[in-house]
Amino acid sequence: MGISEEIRQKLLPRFRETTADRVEKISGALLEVERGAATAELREELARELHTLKGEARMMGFVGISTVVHAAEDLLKGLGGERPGEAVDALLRACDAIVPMLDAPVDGGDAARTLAERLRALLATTPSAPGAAAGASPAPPAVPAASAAPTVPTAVPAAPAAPASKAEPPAQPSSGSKAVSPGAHHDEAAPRAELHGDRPAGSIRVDVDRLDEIGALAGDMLVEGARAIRRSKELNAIFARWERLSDRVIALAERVADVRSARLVEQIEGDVHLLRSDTFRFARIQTEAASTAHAQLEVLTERIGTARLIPLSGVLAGFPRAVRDMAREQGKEAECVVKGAETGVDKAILLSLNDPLVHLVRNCVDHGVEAPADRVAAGKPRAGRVVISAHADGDQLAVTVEDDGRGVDPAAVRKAALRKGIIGEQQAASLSARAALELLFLPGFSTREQAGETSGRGVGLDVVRKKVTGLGGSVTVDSDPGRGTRFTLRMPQSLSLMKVLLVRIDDDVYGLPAMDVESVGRLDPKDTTEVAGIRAVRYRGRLMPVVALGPLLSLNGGPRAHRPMVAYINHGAEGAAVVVDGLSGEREVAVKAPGQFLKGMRFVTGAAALEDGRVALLLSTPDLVSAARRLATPLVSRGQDRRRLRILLVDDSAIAREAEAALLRSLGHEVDEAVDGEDGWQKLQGGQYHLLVTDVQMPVLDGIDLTRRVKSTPRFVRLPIVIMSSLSAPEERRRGVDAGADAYMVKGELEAESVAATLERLCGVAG
Amino acid sequence: MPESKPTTEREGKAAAEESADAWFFCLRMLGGRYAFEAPLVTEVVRLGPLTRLPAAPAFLPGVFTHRGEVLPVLDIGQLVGRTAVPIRASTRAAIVHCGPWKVAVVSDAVEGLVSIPRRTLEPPPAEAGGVAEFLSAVGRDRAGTVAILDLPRLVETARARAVPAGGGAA
Repeated sequence: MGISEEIRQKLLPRFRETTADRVEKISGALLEVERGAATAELREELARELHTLKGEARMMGFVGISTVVHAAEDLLKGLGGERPGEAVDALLRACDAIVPMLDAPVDGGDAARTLAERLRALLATTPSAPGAAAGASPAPPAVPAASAAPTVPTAVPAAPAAPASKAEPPAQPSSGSKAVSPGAHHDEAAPRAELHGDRPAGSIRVDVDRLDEIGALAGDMLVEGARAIRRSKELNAIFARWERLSDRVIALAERVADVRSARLVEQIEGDVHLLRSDTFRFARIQTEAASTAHAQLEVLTERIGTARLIPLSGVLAGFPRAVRDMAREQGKEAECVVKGAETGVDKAILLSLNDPLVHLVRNCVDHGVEAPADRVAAGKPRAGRVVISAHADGDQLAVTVEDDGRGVDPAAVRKAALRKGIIGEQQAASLSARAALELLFLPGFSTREQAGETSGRGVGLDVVRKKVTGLGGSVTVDSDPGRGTRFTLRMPQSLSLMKVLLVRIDDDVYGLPAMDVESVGRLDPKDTTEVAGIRAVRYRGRLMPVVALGPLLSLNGGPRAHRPMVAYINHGAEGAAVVVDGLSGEREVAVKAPGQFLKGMRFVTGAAALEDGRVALLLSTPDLVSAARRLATPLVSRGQDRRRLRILLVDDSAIAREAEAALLRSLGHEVDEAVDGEDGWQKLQGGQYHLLVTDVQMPVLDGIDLTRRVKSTPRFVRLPIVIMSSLSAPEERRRGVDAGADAYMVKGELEAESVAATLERLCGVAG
Repeated sequence: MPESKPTTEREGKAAAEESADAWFFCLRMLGGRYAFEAPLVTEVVRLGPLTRLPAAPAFLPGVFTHRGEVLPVLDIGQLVGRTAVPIRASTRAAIVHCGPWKVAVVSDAVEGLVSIPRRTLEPPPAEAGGVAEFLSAVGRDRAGTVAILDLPRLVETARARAVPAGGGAA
């Protein structure tokens, strides 16, 4: 299995360590088997451990070990339930041999061959029908077994000799003892356990949770360090005031005529001068110390972050075999190649990555790879190829799963989605090929009518996407029909440290994952266009919806600048231009969970403490992008059965007005805008409206007065008025209702559904 | 709900429990005195600068850090549809632990621990809407009437309203 020598050398220490652990685990399980106390799970685990060990050994080039383990696997499979007897003993013996073999030539030499042969010999003699013969006599068959192995009569030395096996365990030609009484195994158990105790410890193992804790502390310390720097700056500012004092003392000295007073003032001047230089020196040292400490803490945090990364091989090792088996079940041929298994990743991510990968790989085998005959007909090799490759990209982990199968046909996807009612006809017609592929990730989608044996059992690509986005990552798919499909998963490599772009809404700070921010800049209104009620900007050849972050998050604020700051964010194939009040730069923060109570809240993925004592909430790009699109995209399918209303919208904040207008338009209504109460009043005179929607706090004429004026004008008495305000207090509502408003909606709670319901209530549904 | 059943045979602990005053933690808000089981409160803090939560209901005005933890602020006034508790630099909040949830409850003023004779505890007079919905009892001490809140239920309700679907398991 082709891994480069360089990688092999890098992995070797870790392989030694895990192998030792694995062997220990296997020995433990074997002992349970011997005792007849092994549960089904334990047996499964045992089989799994052996299998993994074999795979890893092969990958690392230890052919000898993998041969021995392979033989052990076979022997274990044939093992009877009741009296495994000698077989277990031989297996344990093989276990002992494995760790020393790590330092021996990779082919394991004669020792490995001998061991493997012995295990195979035992296999030949183990009764294939367990139970029946098992009770009879496990010992006698050992004799032929022994004679079958030429060099070693039986590799079972007398019990007391066990410690010696540490030195050269596989090669024990000396001992001539034959059959072993079952009791002997138990005697040997103890010394065998010691065998692993004194292996050289080049590394120690630390519980990941503890490492997490240390990492979190280091993150907090880092923030404290930044605070210290801030404090020393303040200190410098305070010390700078000495200067003024000393100037004044000098001025005073010049004025004092009295000799004795003059002497005193002179002394004071000297004192102040000394004090001043001392404090300056102190301040300089202090500032230096603080920034040194901070820099060291930065390194510390980063190192701990790296230390807690676990290689992906733990998850990926099983795939090659699994792919082969899966393909066979379906009468296909497929091989799986894993690249970059040594890439490290956060434990939490590693654990959550398994299921999505299993699903994607199954998907490749099930839907991608064709039957051998079809492949040959298409001029491809008989066996399909599934490649899983992982690599770190900055602080990001990218994993691709690709096959060279039939690919995905966007037209077929479109048709299927239409048939399943996932999209409407109009939408289907307008979907680009790329957008059609995105449909694969919608709940309830599967290109095959029948769920496959292998994949498609309830879990779909939607679950894959959900899981990966839950990790702060994204999944995208590319396909070349007839040539293959590639799924790309991107996610942060570590969850504890993250690069974020800090943005401001009012005085509050929020973080956008830096990996999702394509660029930042100022948004010139003349660059934006309005397409069917959606405000959009062309950015790098792509139309992106423009949304203000404040209203999008149902927060007040919203830039009043003519050319506001904007961040272009991306999630998979979709993006949005997010308008913010200000940018506070990009930096690496220690991510904290936002606390149990806030778990699952929309938009928030985590939090980070800032030096000034504030919390920056970290926002989820997928949530932002989907909310931005929802706010900006007309809901075509919904709009048809609703009455199209002419609405006058009055709001003095341009951004808020835009967000509200977009929402109303997305519900299929026609919207005219007015910038304050007076303007609204004027427009109302000139137009025919079904509904008036107004903000409360506005210059010139506020919303309450506008409502009063409208309601007291006979012509408009029946015009429904909705007040949309950021004020949610009950007395505010009362004020609105007292003035005559028909509904009061809080800006923070604007959801398309509830707005639509309110409009229906006020204006009726039927046209 | 603590009730004093007429007991003829008082014995051991029961007797001690019955006779003892009950300790509650008392806050002033909504123009009245409100209290809840004292052990729920871990400490009282001055609120740091808040960061507003996106798309959050009004009764969660924001989050702040406390000892390295990010805690949400709960405004009971807004939860029960009354006026908001004004948050200023001097505003103090009680950090409470209710099951898995940890939140900071803001108040107009913190009165602290009060002991209320158990015999004065009465069931709430009504279960009308608003804050009365969360009353578990009404008690009296020297300073006057105290409304005893069923804080765990209140926090649970707040959580359910803030994260309707129970939240992702992520």
